[in-house]
Amino acid sequence: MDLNEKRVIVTGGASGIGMVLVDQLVDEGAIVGVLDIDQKALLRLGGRYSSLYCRACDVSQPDSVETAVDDFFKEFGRIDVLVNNAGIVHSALLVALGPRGIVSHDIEMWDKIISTNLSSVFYVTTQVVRRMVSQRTKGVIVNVSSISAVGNIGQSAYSAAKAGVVALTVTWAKELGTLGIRVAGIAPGFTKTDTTIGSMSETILSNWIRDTPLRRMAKPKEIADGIVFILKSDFFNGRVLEIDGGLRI
Amino acid sequence: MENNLKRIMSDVLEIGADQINEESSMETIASWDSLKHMELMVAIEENFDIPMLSMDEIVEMTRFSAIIGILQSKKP
Ligand SMILES: NC(=O)c1ccc[n+]([C@@H]2O[C@H](COP(=O)([O-])OP(=O)(O)OC[C@H]3O[C@@H](n4cnc5c(N)ncnc54)[C@H](O)[C@@H]3O)[C@@H](O)[C@H]2O)c1
Repeated sequence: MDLNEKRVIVTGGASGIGMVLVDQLVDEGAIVGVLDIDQKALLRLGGRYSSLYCRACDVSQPDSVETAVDDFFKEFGRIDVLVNNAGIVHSALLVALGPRGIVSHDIEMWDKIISTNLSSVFYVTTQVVRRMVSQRTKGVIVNVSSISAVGNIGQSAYSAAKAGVVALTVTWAKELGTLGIRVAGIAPGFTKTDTTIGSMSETILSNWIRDTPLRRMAKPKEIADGIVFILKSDFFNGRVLEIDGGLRI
Repeated sequence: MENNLKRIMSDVLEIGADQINEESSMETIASWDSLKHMELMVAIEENFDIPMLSMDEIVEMTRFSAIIGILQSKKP
């Protein structure tokens, strides 16, 4: 796909990997809409590009998603690309034995991680694909999964959500391929964003770096490059591109 | 037009063209499910070079005879 003039929605594009991706998409000539829950970050981003469509949206809420996607669609007339990038991390053991006795994984956090990282992908994609189908748009969906999708200690909810994202990717590629809509995923390894650095102790982080054959974290640009590669590669479909420096967890 | 439609249906629904007749419908052809229906509609639009079908037409076109009827109404 040539991205010039393409109408693209990036969820969670106001910071981290999503924000770097937005830069690249704008450079490619795409018309980009960013749906993000962080209004301040959206304002900062909107200040950089006057052409950017910045829209506050909680992707874990179906109503919020429907209105935001519909508004973008009405403004730009079609949607060619969706990148489901918004996500949050949470680390907790299923059951932890510590100074406070036996502590189980918080159920509210389970629900929040699943709804923000997995249900959101379902909500946004449903709204986007029904518009693609109605206009016979041969579009592309990219879902951001994670190296943790195979199961990472201390990340029950996050790992399950990201594994779910892989399953949705494969399912939708099978369902939508005959309509010319491609669906693919990307599974980043540890990537140097504020969220990742802020969510782990220095020791844990340096252990992960030590276990990574390339002995470093990914730069957000390297993940964004992978997403752009998927968008441009017309035969890349139903697969998840792993960009993790060779790390296996 | 009938033969052309049979060929398209045979390709999309993966059945022999000789198994398709005037009476064929989503009820009589097992492989014609909602997923195949979308694919069939897009294939019909592309092969007959007609403008995008409306939702009402897509809902209506679940029988061979109804498809022919709608295609005929679109003939220039
Ligand atoms: N950074 C990593 O190490 C890493 C590794 C693997 C996968 N990932 C995945 O990559 C994606 C981006 O991660 P990042 O590191 O850039 O994170 P980030 O925190 O920098 O960016 C995530 C963005 O999503 C937004 N967001 C969060 N909840 C939202 C909601 N409910 N509705 C709308 N927007 C919401 C945030 O406001 C933020 O702008 C996530 O899906 C993450 O799980 C990241």
